[in-house]
Amino acid sequence: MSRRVVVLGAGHGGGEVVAALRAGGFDGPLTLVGDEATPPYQRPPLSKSFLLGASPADELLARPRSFYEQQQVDLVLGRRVDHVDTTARTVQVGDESVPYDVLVLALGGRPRMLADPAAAKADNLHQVKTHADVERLRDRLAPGTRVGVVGGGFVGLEVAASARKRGAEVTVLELAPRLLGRVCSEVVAEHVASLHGARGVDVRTGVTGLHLVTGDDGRIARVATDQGIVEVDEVVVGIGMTPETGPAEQAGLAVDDGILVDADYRTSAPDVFAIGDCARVLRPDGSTLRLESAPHAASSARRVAAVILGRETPPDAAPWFWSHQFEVKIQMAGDPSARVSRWVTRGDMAGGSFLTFGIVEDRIVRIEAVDRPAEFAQTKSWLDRPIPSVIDRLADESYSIRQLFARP
Amino acid sequence: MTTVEFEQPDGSVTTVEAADGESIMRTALSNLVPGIVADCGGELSCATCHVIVSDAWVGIAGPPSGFEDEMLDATSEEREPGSRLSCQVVVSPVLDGVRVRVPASQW
Repeated sequence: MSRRVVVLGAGHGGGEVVAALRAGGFDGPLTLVGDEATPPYQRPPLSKSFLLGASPADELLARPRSFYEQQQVDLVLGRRVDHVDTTARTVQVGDESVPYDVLVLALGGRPRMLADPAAAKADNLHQVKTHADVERLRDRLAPGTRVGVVGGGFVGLEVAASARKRGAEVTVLELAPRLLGRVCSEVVAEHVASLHGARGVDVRTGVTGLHLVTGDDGRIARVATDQGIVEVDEVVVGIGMTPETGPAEQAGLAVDDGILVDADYRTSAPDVFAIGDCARVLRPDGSTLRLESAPHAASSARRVAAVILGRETPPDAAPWFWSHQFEVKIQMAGDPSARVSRWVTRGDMAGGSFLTFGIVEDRIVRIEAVDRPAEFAQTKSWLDRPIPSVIDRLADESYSIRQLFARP
Repeated sequence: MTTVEFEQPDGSVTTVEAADGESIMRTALSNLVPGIVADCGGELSCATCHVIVSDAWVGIAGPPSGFEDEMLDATSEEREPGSRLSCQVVVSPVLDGVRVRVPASQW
């Protein structure tokens, strides 16, 4: 008796669930439903290598199209699912009612949009979610194209860097007093700001009164702010994401800025799971955490696959994230909402190769690295462990990271 | 068609057909080869697609470079002379028959 597993959402997490189930020996019927026309693909490169180059979209595919046929995954693309019935255990796909025994919601999120009325209509306003979005932006970028980027978070800054590398004139407009406010330390944010400045991006922070001014042709001609007016050819909005919870709400599942799940990603309905960006996980201390990252989409997918298979679940790795801007590699690990009491920095900030550790008492709760991938990876597994003897030596480069963290 | 052999820690070997121009990591994912995690999808950010190229093929596959070399210092299983991140090894006809070992753990 093989149960039927239906996965809603053919993004990074959805693709990983079906792969992990088949890799783990699941031989039951498996359906993957997605609203884009493309099988699961990598989104992180969209604002980086994909925006920079002319590589075909198929290079981003997580797995080749033939994989789904070979693995007998019923791939239903270009369809939105708006109706889930957790009593009848069915989802409505077009005019077909598809039964499930186990349902996995891998719905991801939607980019937030400016409340400005001009935003809805303008043809030169872009968001970055799908490869179609990025292809459209890429086609408009030429040397000298004036690009206004609203939002100084990772997506905005990656777009800014890629557009600048393609010769565009780029202005970044951030409402907060500094870049990357919600996601990283001041040390790294300052470094990123100076990196962009040095490469000719006009970075403005603490911007207020931002509004879009439309020309006679309906396109946005300029972005007006308290810090002056920016003439633009294209506008990119990267101001965060809203988790996609529609089908869960409609089905009556518990939702609170994300679909509420336990440590095994189980929702409030039996045999319904939610993973990746759309899930908000309840932690042992009673707090909840929602993570927007590809590694989390993959690790939550693998965990749910193990739960469905009745296997031992893999340990949850620490949350982590990376960004590439210009030629610089930035990596972060740890709960981004953790309250850090002090930062300890190791390495050469002026030379652009350093790590900074967010410390609470005798623990590292955050690690951020600029062009230090090996030390980043070596220290990541020590997050949240008490290491009193090491904390004060972190900044001392006469000790290697391997020496500092040598197991007793 | 180029073939790649993946040797698991238990000694079992899976031989798969690989598309030229694709990385060994993508080849592994496309064929559900166990033990290649590839958390970052080939962006040289995670070191979870570590493989050890067998001795006979090391010279042909070539050495790691730059960030890849640094990240091999941080893999879950200790690096060896043939260690590479499989996302950085591109399949081509000269690698036909290449054998790589999959380490026991990736993180």
